Amino acid sequence: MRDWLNPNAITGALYLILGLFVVFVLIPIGVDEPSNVEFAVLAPSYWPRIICLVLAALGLGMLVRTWLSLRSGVPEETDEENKISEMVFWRAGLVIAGSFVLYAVLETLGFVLAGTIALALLMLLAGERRPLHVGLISVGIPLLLYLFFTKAASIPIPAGILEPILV
Amino acid sequence: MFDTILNAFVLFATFENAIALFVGVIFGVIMGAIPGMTTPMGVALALPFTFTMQPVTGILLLLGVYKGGLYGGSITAILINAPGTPAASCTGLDGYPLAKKGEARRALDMALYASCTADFISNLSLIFFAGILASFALRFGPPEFFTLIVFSLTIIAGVSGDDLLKGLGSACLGLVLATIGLDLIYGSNRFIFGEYQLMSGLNFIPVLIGLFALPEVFSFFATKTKPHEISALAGLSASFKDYKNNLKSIVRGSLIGVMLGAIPGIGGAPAAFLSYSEARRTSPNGKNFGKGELEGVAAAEAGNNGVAGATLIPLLALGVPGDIITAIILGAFMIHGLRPGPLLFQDNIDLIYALFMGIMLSSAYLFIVGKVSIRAIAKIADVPHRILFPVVLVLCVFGAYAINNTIFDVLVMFIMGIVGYGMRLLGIPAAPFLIAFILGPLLEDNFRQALLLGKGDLTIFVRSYITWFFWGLTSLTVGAMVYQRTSGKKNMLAGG
Repeated sequence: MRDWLNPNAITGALYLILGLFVVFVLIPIGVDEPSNVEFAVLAPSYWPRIICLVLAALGLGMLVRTWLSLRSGVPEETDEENKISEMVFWRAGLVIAGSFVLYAVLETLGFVLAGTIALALLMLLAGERRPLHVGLISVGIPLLLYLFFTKAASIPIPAGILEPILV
Repeated sequence: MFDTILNAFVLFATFENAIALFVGVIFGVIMGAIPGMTTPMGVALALPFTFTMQPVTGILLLLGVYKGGLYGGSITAILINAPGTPAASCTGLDGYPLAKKGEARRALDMALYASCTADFISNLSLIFFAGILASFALRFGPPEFFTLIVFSLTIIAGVSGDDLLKGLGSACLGLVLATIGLDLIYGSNRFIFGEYQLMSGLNFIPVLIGLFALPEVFSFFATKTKPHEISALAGLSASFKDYKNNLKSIVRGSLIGVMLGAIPGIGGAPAAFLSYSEARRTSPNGKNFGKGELEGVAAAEAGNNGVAGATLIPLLALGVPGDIITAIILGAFMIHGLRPGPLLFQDNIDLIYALFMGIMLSSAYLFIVGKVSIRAIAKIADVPHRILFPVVLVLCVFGAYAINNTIFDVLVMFIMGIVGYGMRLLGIPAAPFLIAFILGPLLEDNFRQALLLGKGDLTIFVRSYITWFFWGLTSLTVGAMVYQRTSGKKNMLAGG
């Protein structure tokens, strides 16, 4: 079973499941078919259906290839850039989870305050320990970006709770 | 004739024109270099300033922004893998690996040289072949577009790495994602699920930033041993030899850009990818493409910038804007009481020649501004990674929001970041995804429009010599790739 847990087999399974999921679940519920379609190939669902069937076929092909290589005893070549065993996933997971927290508070706290907190925490997590650097950069960069977008480019960026000061 | 040129020179050779063009190029480079600030946005922002200017001055300012923006988009693509435009994402395929190797300055230099050369060739084409190219461009209908995009998509096999199945699957994912939004023919919903912000489909820029820049950030935090931080400025500039070695790809890419740029509605991205694909196919270093090959940067930038002058061909000769930027420039013409098209050549030929002179000068300005900015901008790659990557994440958040002023785009960017990171862990190449996502809507729309035109008859796809030409090229390319892969495998087996 562990032999199947290689990137190629996982990718093949993902392609197969995703392709079939879109064809049999997402297209029926997510694509509105008009009643006046002249030719089948013009239907809104035609293009995504064809693509996903090809995706599923590619996934099946990859799984068959893995099975054949396992049967013959010759290991498949994998071309993954990063060695998964050398990864510290908790830190990446923390950054990903933190990204969604940042997204959730962006409008309430405002881009400057949320950006400052996020930048300071990320720099500390990345190993930057100089307080002056952390302080200046985490405050300065979001503030500069805010001023550039709002004043120079006239793009309104939510200031959140800092609105009375910044706007 | 001589009188006309003299009048045009008098019209052009003013201090205001020289300054407006220069300021336009600087503004464009800055706009293009900031994720979230696009070239059309830059041109639109500059438009109100032209109201009180003379027509030539105002239009030259906009053209300066346009040309600067095309080059500027490649800067962040090379330095932090956050392309400012869809076309610049092609430059990042080799530019970013070069920056990672400490050769950011060399990549930026080559991008600039290729941009200026392509821009110059494109301007010459505009001046000398506007009439011929405009009539050629008018022969392109949906079937011709479709075959052209099919040919452009053959590049997917080239950027799929060693595993073609994985690469093709990645392209399928990109094509499926590109179908989200309102169906263009029937106006029905596709994968919207009640979220009205999905009606216009996913915006390119948050997807590009999410797919390319965020996985770099996540990977940085996930790596136990921090990579050795190489000073980007320690690397040398691109030499004249580098330029000479890549000149063939640059000229070819420029001509591809000119041909595609003259066709309304195509834009820089297909030109960049097609130029990149041709360079990869013909280069002796083809296998290094995607891993930090200077020729890849040169070819992509040449294709991208080759469209700059050529997009003005349908605008000036026919009055047809080929993209958003030329549509804004058309607006500038009209604000000043001018209507581009054959009559403009008849009634205001001195103005046209004055614009041509300004356009030629813009290539020189681009070179000067680019050279000066590279010294300053390449320092970004010198910033320690523990500071750079957190800053990149915050910059991406601001950039993704600024595109449409919607927080939804920030969410799209984060989700695509996770998708991109997952793809990286599984060894799924992101380049085919990106190419398919950008070219997918063009492919589908033209496929369906052609079928509507032909009332469902598939022979519409072989209706003209242009379609035959592209089918022929596609068959030759696919055949060559199959031969290359099978002969490569045979050689490997023979070699044990």
